[in-house]
Amino acid sequence: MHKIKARLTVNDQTLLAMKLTIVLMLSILVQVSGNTFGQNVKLNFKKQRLEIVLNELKRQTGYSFLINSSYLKYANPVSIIVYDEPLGVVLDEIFTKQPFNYIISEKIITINPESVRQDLVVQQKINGRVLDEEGKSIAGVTITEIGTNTSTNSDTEGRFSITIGKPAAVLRFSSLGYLPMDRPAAAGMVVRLVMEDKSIDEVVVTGFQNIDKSKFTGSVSQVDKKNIDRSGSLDVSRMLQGAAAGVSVQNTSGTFGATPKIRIRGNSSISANQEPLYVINGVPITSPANVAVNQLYSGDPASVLGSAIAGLNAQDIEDIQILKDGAATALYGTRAANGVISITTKRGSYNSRDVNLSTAFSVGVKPDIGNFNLMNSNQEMQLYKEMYDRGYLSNANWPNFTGAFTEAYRQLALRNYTLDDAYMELNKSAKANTDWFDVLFRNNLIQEHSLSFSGGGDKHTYYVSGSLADDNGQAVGFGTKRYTTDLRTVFNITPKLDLDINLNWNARDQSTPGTNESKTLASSNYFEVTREFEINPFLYAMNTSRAMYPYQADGSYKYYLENLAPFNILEELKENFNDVKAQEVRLIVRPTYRLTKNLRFDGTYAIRKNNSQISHIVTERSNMANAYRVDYNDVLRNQNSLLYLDPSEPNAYRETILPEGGFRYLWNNWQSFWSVRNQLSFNETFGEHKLNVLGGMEIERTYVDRTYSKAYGYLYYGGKIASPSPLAMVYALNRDDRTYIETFNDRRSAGFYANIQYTFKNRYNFDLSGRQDGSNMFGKMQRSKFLPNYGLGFAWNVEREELFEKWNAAGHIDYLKLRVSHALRGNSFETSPMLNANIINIPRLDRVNTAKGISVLEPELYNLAWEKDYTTNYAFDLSLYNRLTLTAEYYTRKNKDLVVPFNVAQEDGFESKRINFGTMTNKGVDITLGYRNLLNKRDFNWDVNLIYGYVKNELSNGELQSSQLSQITNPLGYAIEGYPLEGLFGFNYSRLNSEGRPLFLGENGEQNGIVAASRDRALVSYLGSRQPLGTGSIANSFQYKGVELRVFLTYSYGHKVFTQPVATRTYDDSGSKSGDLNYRWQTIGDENYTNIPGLLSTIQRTHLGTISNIDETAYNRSDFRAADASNLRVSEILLAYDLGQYFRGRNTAIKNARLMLSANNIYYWSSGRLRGVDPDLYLSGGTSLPNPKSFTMRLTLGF
Amino acid sequence: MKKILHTIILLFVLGLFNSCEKFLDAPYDNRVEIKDLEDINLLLANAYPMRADVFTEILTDNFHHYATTMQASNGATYIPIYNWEDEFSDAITTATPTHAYSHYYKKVYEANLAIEQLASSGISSLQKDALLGEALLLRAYNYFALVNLFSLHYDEANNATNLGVPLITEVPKGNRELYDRATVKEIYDQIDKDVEEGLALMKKGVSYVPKTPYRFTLASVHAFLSRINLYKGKWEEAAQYADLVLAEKGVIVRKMSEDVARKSSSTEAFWAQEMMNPSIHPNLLLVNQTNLFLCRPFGYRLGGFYLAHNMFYTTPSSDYRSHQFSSGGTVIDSVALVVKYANQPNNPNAAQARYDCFTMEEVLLNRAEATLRKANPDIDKAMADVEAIRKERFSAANYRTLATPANVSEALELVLRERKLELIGQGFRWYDIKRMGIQVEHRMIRTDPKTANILAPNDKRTALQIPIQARLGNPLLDNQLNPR
Repeated sequence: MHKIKARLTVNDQTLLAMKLTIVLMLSILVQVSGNTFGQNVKLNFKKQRLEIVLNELKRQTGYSFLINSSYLKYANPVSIIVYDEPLGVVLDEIFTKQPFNYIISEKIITINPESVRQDLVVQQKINGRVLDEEGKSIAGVTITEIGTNTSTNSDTEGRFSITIGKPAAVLRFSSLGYLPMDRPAAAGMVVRLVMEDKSIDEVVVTGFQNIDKSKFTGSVSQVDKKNIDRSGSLDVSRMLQGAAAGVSVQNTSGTFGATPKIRIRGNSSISANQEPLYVINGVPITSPANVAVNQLYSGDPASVLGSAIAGLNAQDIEDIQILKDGAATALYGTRAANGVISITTKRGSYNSRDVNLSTAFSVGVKPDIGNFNLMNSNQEMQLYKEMYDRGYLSNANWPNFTGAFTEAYRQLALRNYTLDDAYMELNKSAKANTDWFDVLFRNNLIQEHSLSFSGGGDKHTYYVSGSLADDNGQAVGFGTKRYTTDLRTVFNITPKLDLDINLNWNARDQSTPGTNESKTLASSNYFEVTREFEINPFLYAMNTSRAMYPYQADGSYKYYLENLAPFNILEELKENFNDVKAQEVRLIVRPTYRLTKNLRFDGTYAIRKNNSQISHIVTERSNMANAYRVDYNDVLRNQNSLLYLDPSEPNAYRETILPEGGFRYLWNNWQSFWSVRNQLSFNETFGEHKLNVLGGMEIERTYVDRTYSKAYGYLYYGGKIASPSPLAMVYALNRDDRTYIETFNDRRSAGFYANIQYTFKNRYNFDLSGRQDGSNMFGKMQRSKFLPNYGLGFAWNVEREELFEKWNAAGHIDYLKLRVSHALRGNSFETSPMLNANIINIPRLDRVNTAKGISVLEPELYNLAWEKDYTTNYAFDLSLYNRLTLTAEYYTRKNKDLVVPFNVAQEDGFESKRINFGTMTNKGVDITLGYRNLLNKRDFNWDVNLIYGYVKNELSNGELQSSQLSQITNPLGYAIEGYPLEGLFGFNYSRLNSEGRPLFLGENGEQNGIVAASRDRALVSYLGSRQPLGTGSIANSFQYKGVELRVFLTYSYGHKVFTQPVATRTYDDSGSKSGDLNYRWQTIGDENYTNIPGLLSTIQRTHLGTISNIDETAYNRSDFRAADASNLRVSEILLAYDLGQYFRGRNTAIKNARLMLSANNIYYWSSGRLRGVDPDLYLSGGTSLPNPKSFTMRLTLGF
Repeated sequence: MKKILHTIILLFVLGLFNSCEKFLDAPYDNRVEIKDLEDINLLLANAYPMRADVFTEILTDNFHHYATTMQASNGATYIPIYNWEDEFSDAITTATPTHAYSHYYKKVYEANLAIEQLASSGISSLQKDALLGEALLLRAYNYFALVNLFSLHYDEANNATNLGVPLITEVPKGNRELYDRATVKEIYDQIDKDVEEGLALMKKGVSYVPKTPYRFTLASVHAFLSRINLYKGKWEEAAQYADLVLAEKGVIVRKMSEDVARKSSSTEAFWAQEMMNPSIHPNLLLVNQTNLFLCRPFGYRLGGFYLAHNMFYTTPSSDYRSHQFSSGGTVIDSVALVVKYANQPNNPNAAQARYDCFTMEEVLLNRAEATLRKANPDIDKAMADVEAIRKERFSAANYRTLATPANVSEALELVLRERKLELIGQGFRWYDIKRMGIQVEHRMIRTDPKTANILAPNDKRTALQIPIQARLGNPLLDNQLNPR
């Protein structure tokens, strides 16, 4: 509390306002029931609503009523006139006309729909307590003695007392939302009820409707709340790993705001979006800046705005359901081709009051350099000596960058060092053994504090929460603060009209190292991502020579050359950084109006405003800025490619464009979203027929305004002004390097949808959904503007068949359901098929003739249509002995008309054009197996949950023609017909030749030398899928009295990756060296013992360079360097202890308390050939970081 | 009550359908919609092709190969091209037939787009005429380049059967369209039609014709027509259109003394860059290239192809044109570049440079040649045109007129020799070789007389093969390759 207060007051006005709002809301909403005792009541109502009557009774007597609000709609109007009658008599009179019965226990009156009559036989009194899995007390649990009509219910602290008729009575505990449980009666018994979410009898929240799961025909997975209720990772999307079968989640970066790569049931598209749709309370959510798909995993500055739900506080989540197949998502239409993650946030419950505080402290653990198999500095220095002898390192010229060896020589050459100094320096380097992870990473502290107030009266509920999360960054240069508030209130305005209002605000301040946008260049890096001025700490720590060191003996920075200018990573991270600010306000208003008994109107109106800004600041003291200024001798002047020569100046020489200052890049995004959905639903039961019809329309618009600006000569330490040089402006004009760019995206869509559900005899369920979608992406093209989607489903509740019921008389099988569904969904590609033309500057050397023009980037694609996804799902759900649940599903997906950039006839004017050409199939199995209370012990509970998903993806059409091998062997995979979309292809490594050079197998045996433009497919072979085939999790949960231990393991298997590259054309003395290089080829004959290529002579190197030889790249991407990426991760080990018993009696304010200790992501098993590099990590640099290991301590308190 | 409700809902839904269409008609992002004449004006400003055919210089007798100073990565691409072979590495993606093919068709698309937009605009104004004329001329210019690169030379007897290039005169709308090759005749008919219409429209809308040297003017259109007719062998017309150019612009040729002075007063790089500066030189049509170096195989010190020795050593040092021959290697190598567009010491990559499409010198030489070849040749007039150029190629002290030729064929020989020297390195020699049936010998080792690879007069290989990359997207071309 104090912590939050301090934070709130420190921060800006907005926060203060929010805090005040919370206080204000509380004072309005919280009702404290008075304590007027009295048995006799007087009432005078005519045709009044039941809740009003009960409320009056509560006011007069001080008794509380517990009733599930969903029952109230079945209540009959009450007419009663009594004067000073006993409460019991009055209640009897009221409830004779109601479809309910009531039970009185310790000033709480519980209302149940079943006919449970009180029995007055008194024999033995048993006291006990009912708790939930987290040790919180549960009020209103009905406790019945089996075989009798004796019942009672638990009070607000979960306590109950019941008088039983038999000595060995068995009590049944039941409560809505929990699984019923039978226990032998014992004095002082403590019973833990398990949430119903593992049961079959639940509700599917599709976002459009809530459907009884027993009737649902589509495929949906509910995420176990324990997976979300975790600490150490602020973004909920990250916690979905292993949470549902068929949902593959790869946490490609640990940086807050980056999105994990989520694939629901395989890949569905080649060039279009493959990310699932996030839906919060029925409203689709997009990432803060609507980040382009190609930037999601790139580590670019924008990638930290990639996650759509980064602003969501996990504590506010009530439920997450993942809708997987087409039948489940049909109502979402074209947005949902990749599945839907439907999130429901918490709301208060009627007639209750709860305050929950959760506070967690996590400590991250630095990566250990020992895991990475790097040479130590002594080995490195020996290698450098050999390199020096072979002419790799030279002190004769001016190097672009220096390492441990060349820096000493350079200083000696500049007469800064004496010979003795130089030797001392070399010796020091040989012993340095710098652990760069230790230098650049830290055991960061992540704090998460969250406070919520919830509850309600008879006619409204409220939920108000606020949270603060602060991560001081696992590496230098990183840090995140996030603030969220969520406010949800439901008003029953009239018996017919309800209003559900959800207001959410979240904001964040984040810093990351300065990051330039990445480039994928065929020429420079064979289709791998590169970035200028890369200072990502993880890449630096992994790739920097251990013979280099960060500090001089006197504590000052030790500089090496980088980009011709002095460089120290610690200093650079301070002087070159990104500042990310984002905030979002979201309002969802959902009125429900019951027009008649059967007809209902639902409105969903949402508005969201999102503002984000990324500021990349390169100060005047940074290496990046200084690199632009290196012109201080003629050699360097000609060498520095960052200098510029004014072409219009006859006697110009190359000069800096940055005589002072640095750069500031600013990206601003302003997103506006609104959506309107109106829906009518009708349901009626005619005898054995149940019919549910629903129809509606939805319109939405997402508008994103993006501005970018670049300031030359930005003076961070000089008043924060831009002071550009004239030459910088000349440069900007001639190169058309614009200092200001403004773009927008206006995505509009409209859809009409309908759904019919029909149930016959309560066991044959038919489902038909359809949606027609339109989008403005198609511009004038009417033909393609709309696409109909449909879904068909059938489900058969076998256990309700009479024959089956007879057979299953013992009741071993609780539930058996067969399902089948088929659907078509459309997917839209990333950009519009309209003519893609932009106004451009045409700079000319003779500036008077400089002009503007229109450049046509892509032609109008007259025939482009939606991508189509046909899904078919076969499934069965089984529940045995009320313990074992199994859901097994088999599905196929056929993706047709996929948009592929295809090599069309060049006479069309373009070398490639996007056409509907690709076809792909996915086939897979999802299995979810749960076993509750495995050992069937009273106090000791062991629950197991297994999740398994397997998918086989195959591209049947849509391969690009004539790709170069360097493109096909892309480490991220490449699409070739007959193989998975992300198939890994590698060169066929044969052996080293007698010169220590790798040889490769081709059509005609061994081939010496591979050239960059090679297209000879015989040289490469398929190694495996880059995307895991099987993913899933194993969750074990043990409970003994107040203690819970949970072990959550996730796994993925069946995929391949290339190990870290070891061979390069030229080795330098600044990069780290793989320990494998110790075993490199060194002399003739070594080729019989080693497969690590040797060093080249200078002449060889030059020669290979001029013939575009790429042997080293081919070697690094060969079958020999591929490794199995299967892995098993200890995602979480949680130990929780219920502290509630200590507070009881001492401090009545605390209702429950729980202390949790957890270890997150602490270990994984994978192939030793990966040399400690996490196979799921995409080393994309920039803003990305690996997923941290962390240890968490968390305390939750309920008041 | 229920009826009313139903009616309300029905009306509501119907109303939505209607407004929905409007709602969905909004632009999706800030791409340009080409709507009015100003948009088409901008489209055309960027629709000019670059000189993607300059690489043809290495197919001619202007250049020789010098293995030891060739950057090895150039070899796989340019040595087969130098030997007129059909297959070569596509590791180098600019300054090759592959690049030329796709580039000229890209610009055909842009011209077609402009023509289609103008045709559907419904506007009629002088500006529209000027723009439509320009677009038609651009299309003609692109097809002229394509047909001269990838087909046999214009030959009235065989045009109807000789393979031309695929002819696309509309914006392609199909998903994946395939195209057959038209005949040379069909291509030339289209060129003639477009040029005729285009010229007429430009004349009509002449007040709207842009005045920049980077876009067609009447003078450059006439220069284009002069070239077309010269290549066709229509000497009268070639001379007439040259006359029109000279009548408008006057006989103003490059003052090379000024160039040479600039070379000594500033750096070589600056001098080279200013060679095609329209502010100081009388060029008729230029393109400005910001990112591609179009003379890659012979335009920098390690390109591998250098000035043929007979040109290098026969040009006297008193001739200012010898100043454009920049030594490429050591004294022993004795190789030289022709510096006309930009000075590239050893970097074949990006540089901003201006390339000529039509120059006054070419027009004069066209006229001189046509004057000699037409029905009643005029030696004096032809020699006057040649001397108009030569006068600016020597200092006043060194300038001597050529000896008056005795007959027409001698005069023609002088004119053609002058043409070869004057236009060297500008990518025109290849077409002269094609149209005049000149034999070319290429050697891998310059001094070895035995290794000559000979391109006979009117060799079938003068029609460059359709590039492999183009055949991938349009497999029909595989069965319509240039015969070998």
